[in-house]
Amino acid sequence: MSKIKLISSDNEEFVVDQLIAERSMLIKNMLEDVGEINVPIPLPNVSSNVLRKVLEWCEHHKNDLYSGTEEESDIRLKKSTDIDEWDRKFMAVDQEMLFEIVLASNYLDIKPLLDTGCKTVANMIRGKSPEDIRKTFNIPNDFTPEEEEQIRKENEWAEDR
Amino acid sequence: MSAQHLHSCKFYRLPLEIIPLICRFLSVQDIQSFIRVFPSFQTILDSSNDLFWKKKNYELRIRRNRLLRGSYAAGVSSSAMNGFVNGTQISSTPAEREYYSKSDEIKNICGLPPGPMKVEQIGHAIDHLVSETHTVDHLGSSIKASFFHIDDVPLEWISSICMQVQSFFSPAAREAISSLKSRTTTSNLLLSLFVGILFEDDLWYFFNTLYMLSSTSAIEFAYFLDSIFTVVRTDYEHYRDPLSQTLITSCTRIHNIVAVIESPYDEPNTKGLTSEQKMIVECQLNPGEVLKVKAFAGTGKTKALLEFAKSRPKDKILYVAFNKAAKEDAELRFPFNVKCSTMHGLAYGAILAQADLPQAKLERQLSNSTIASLLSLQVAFPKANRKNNPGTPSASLVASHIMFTLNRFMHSTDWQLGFRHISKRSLEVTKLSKEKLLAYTKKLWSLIVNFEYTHAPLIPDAYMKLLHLYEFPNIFSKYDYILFDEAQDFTPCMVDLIYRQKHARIVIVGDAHQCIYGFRGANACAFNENLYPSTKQLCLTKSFRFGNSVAKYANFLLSLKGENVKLKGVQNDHAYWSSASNPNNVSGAFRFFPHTIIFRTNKELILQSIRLSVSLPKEIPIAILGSMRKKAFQLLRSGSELAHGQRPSHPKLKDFSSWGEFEVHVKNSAEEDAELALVYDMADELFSESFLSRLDNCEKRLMDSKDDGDNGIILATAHQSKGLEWDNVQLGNDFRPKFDSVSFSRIGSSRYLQEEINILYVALTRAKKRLILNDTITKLYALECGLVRFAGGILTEDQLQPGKVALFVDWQIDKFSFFYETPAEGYNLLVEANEKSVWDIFFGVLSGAWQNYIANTSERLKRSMLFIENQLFAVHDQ
Repeated sequence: MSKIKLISSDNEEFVVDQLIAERSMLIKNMLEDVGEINVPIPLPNVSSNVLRKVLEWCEHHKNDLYSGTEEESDIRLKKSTDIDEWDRKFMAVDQEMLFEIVLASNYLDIKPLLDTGCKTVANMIRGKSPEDIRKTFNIPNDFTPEEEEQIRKENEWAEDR
Repeated sequence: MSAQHLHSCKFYRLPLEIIPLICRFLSVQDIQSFIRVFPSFQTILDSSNDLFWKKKNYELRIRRNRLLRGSYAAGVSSSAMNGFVNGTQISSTPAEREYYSKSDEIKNICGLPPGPMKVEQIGHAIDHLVSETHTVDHLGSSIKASFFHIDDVPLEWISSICMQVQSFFSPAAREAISSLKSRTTTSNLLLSLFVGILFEDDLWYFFNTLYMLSSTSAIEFAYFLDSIFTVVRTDYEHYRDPLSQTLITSCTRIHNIVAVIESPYDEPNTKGLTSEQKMIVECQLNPGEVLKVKAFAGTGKTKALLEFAKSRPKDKILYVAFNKAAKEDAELRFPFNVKCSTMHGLAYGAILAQADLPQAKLERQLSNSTIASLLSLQVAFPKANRKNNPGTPSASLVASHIMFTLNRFMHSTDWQLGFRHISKRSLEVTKLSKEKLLAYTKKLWSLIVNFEYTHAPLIPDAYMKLLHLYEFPNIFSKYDYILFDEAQDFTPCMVDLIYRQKHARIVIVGDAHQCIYGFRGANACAFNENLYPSTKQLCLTKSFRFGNSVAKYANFLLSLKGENVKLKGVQNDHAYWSSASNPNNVSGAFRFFPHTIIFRTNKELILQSIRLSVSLPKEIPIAILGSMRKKAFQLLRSGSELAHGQRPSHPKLKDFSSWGEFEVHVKNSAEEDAELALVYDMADELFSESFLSRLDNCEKRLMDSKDDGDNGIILATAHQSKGLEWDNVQLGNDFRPKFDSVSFSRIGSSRYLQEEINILYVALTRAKKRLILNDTITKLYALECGLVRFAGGILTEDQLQPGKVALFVDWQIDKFSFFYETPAEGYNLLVEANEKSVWDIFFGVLSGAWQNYIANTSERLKRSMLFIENQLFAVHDQ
């Protein structure tokens, strides 16, 4: 099986199976466009520790059936809350890393990983009050009560009555 | 949120398209909490397709619940709400399915087939609901229908109201009503009202007609329209892009009605205060706390302040007004515990208490020639030089730029004169180095603040600045409250001084949108929350001056600037006449009411007064407001002398030996001198031979017409009109900018454009009863609010060509008659209807060019404008 070289933003070189690298639509399309490639592919938006993590995920999911169609993403949406055991452990990282993974999967265009990341973030928000959300993400509340009220009003569509 | 937070917050680092992806996994309540933490994501989520259905469903559920709350709960049991599936075949997500089951249910009750709904079917629905005594629920059983009952009103009466309502219809509305079928008299009335609400400008007339017959039915009707429009709009968005502008605004119209119904009626209490005013009067403040009141035009802020002072009889209150007239007015009204003063008055008193200054030092004016002699500029810039070298600046020109630099310092909050007060233009024009210009300015400042040196007068802005620099302790310290009125007009220097009074409770009142003295250094910084944070903020939005029609246009203008708070008019006083309404509404009896025309520029004011003095019958008095009344004529006469190569006699023009010299001076001088600018702007007229006689004629006419009370015509500029009000106001056609497709997109970033909008807003809100709009706003508004609604508003039947529909009418007021006269040539845009019905045009399905739907409103407006501009040119070229 052919190997692909990837270079992270901090110039570390990764050698991976083409099959694994092609979980990323970005890389897959690139390879399809240029055919055989011998030079390493630079990934200037992804640092080495994040790329290592992402490749770990790709390695584990290399045999997943994944067509990338809309239908598929709808199925994923339906089982919205559940993340499989391995993924949950995989995502048990600090927030900094979690957001980096989301960013990288968006950049590399790995839809299932992006969805898993988004689900993890969503789980951190779900069922919490605005105050709790602020605590979770360490965001200072610098709105006055009046501003809060204004924001609440603007979002009345979202309120269940 | 500060920059540091932005940096540290992970969410702001995510690409925007990820936010909706995260929210897909959240319930609507969770999304709501999320947005409360990150309000800036709101717009991203709004435009996201993924969340579209979630939102729709909730909208519909809320509307339906309201409808149920109304009278129709009787017929339908609540268990019938779920499970009815018909539109579900075409939907895929659960949220979408849920939405469709509800929309199908509503369609079923209305006797409509499932599937996409068209706006004309609403007519059928109304007819069905009114005419059928029984309707079928989704289980197939018959339930009693009782919708929109109008009891105790004879049928003849209803049909006569119906005829009356239809007599106000524009051709487009008339065509619309003729395409709808009605089976009973009541349904005919409701259909007429429905068409009226959709097509006509004055939707409140139609709603109120029903409200007077039966208030419960009217409210029920409004809720019904609101929910049915949600369905139409959603169907439309889903099945047929694009959504037309007209449909969007129709939805907002209905929303507006519902919003007014739901907002608690603002009943004046025993003191005659509105709830908004009461909140201000009852606001408790501690020393050092700041209350900011955003008071829109004509919302009774002075009254609120008066009650505020009256309810605190034991406290010492300082009322700071912007100008002397306002101060004198306040002195008459406020109780004894209130000291009224202008800012300059306070500073003046403080300076006199410190030093005994001779009268010469307290001269209010510092002319350019005085500056020139003080700094011996004549030596540095001799006249002889300019003969050899035409480009060299004159002494008085340099003086004006030194004064300009000094003014910038005096208006600012800075402690020292510096390079930042020098404008680039000054350097270009004077050809001085910035060190040199600064040295001159410092010299002038030191002369002015030298109390011994009587040749350089201590001008008002200078002692104001001194007060700011060296605070004299006891002028503010004795007051418990400081009321700061019209705060938007003060310079940053004065505002800073007020905010520094930490011992007092400060109430800042004003309207940032009325800030029109930018050229004097005012920039509404008093309302800047970053510079001066407030403890409390309140709004005064209910206007006592005008009705909802004027408020509507004012809100529209302010929305261009991004203002969200909406101004409200007095409900029962929306008599209003714009060029857009039917001229037949104004009966011949009111041939001339007291009529005010507000212009942007002095030039247009003078030109129009000359024009009017010729065209108007002799018995109608004409008056010009303010100082230009006498000054302008002397100035222009002198200007004409200058233009014809004579030596001008007017003191302001005496120094110029030729028109060319004058022109150079006006072009290069630092600040626009209104009087010189007027002479310069009138150049074309001044050079013409007959101008002087026309001018004399006009002046004589003005002198003769003494009485400007009940039946005269008053001419004013927007700046002069500030703080005043009249029954009937017409806006002149010289307001800048013309809001073309380019400038419109720049409003957000341009201070110049924002101030021009402010000026227009000030002029517009002077009207109490009737407002006659100028072309600019009319055109803008017609674009923003959908084009078809105004179709045929002016065109008479014979002007409408068969097979064509008028889509946009560019109203012309330049004939300058107070009666609307349709211009013979007409700027009307007639579009081939191709046998489409008016409803199709309503939806913009007529031709490709009308499908100018772009998600962003301003973008859409920009596109429409370009389109209209092109069309207009096309029509003209033919």
